[in-house]
Amino acid sequence: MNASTSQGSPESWQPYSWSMRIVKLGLFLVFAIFLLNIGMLVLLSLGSGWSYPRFVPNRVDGAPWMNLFQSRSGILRSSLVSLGISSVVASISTILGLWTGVGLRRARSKVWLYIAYLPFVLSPVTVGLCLLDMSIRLGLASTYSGVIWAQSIFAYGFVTIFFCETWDVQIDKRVHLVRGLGGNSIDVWRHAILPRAWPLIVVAWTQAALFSWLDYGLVSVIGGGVIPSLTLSMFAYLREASVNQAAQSAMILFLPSLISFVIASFLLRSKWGKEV
Amino acid sequence: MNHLPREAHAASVIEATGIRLGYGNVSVLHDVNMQLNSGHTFVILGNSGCGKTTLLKVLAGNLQPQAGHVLLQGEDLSQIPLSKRGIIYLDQEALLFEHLNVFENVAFALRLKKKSEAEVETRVQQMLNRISLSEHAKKMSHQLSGGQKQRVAFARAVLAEPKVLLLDEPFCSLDDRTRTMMQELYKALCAEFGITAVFVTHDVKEALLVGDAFGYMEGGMLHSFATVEEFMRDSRTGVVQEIDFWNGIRKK
Repeated sequence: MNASTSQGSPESWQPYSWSMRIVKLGLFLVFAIFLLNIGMLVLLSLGSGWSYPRFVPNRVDGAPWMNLFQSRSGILRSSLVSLGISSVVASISTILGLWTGVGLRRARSKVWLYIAYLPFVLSPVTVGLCLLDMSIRLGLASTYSGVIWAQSIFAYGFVTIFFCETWDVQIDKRVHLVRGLGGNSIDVWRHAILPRAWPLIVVAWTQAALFSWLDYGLVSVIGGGVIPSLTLSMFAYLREASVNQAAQSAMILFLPSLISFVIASFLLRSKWGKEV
Repeated sequence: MNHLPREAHAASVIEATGIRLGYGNVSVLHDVNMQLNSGHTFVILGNSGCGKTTLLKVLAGNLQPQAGHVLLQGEDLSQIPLSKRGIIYLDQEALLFEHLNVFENVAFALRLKKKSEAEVETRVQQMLNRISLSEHAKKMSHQLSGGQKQRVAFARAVLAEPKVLLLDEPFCSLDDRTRTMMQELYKALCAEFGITAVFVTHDVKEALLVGDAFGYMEGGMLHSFATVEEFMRDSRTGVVQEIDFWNGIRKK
């Protein structure tokens, strides 16, 4: 291979270089705007009072964050409610989705997989409206169980598709090996599935938890405004023009996404990520 | 599926009768019959895509045939739970448990059988000495070479005392020297532990070295040979061509 083919001719190299620079500049601008907005949120969450078009709150004293733990703050309660719901939803959907996804992978017919895509064709609000009648008849409307049930249906579809598409053939080979060596179902999980599939399980659980954590549509329709999730509280603060509390809620909502991003980066740089 | 009388299969460990399997219009296995006696290695020779691996998967119970049946010690294989079959499938990729070291990989089946710590220690150490890996007992799988991994996988399978060992071109990814060493080790351990195995390969020399009984597979059909001489004489197996080649080289 000569130098011109391996490195590209000057004619082809120059436009590539310019297009890459434009792409990089565009990415930088998007990132800068994103960071500016985050900065604005941080400032608003740290202060008290604010009026348009000012950038800085009237007082930047960290009072909202101090009040968060000092009293029985509505935001703290909403955060704990959302945390509880999302943990339960993620656990239910990950367990069921793992079981179903691996099963569907072996199935010859893809019909069930297409059905799993159904919640994503519709938006969470539409899914909520579809489930509303049934939730009333089952006595699940405006209850924590109802919200968990509805969100789990949505997240279950995602986790099923996720495991169906990302399952490693190596895991199946190890499952057969453990069985052949005389292992039972617990041994299969301990030695064949978990050692190789744990990053996938972590990713699926985190993604399902994030969906529930950030959901507004299902919790407002099925919860009927009674379940005080953090997203619902944030919109309530916005409606009553409590900008600082709304910004604080947004910051708390943003936190798990940030942590998930760091975990995902770590996983992708790990031995597992490089193998993938 | 009919059960044949138990007495008829007393000698054979595994028996396949009238196995047919296909995908769509493509027939992969066509009326395959085979029988394997205890302590023997049945070698199946054949080119790529002839159905060797599919047959092994049927014998392992990982694939269900469309017709025919597999009997394991006279019992219908499909009626025996996977963990009770005692059939271990090994292919060219040594599947070691990455979270366990060499010692624990070899000890795996003994731990599942809840053997005493003293017995595990003794038997695993003996096996590691036998496969010349006692110095690597604490190493993890990623610290081993391809040949060492295969030895660990093989030792683990042997200590599980399988009823049937299925080997799908297990040494084909190894270099010549390691491969020869593995073939000799395989032969020695089979004799020592009385292993019953089906060994699939496309290498004539390997087939002759490790086999006690021989078959040739072509287009999804298995032809079994009564004797090694018959196997060697059949032009399809490539033994004659191999001998002619070396004679030609010697004459030059």
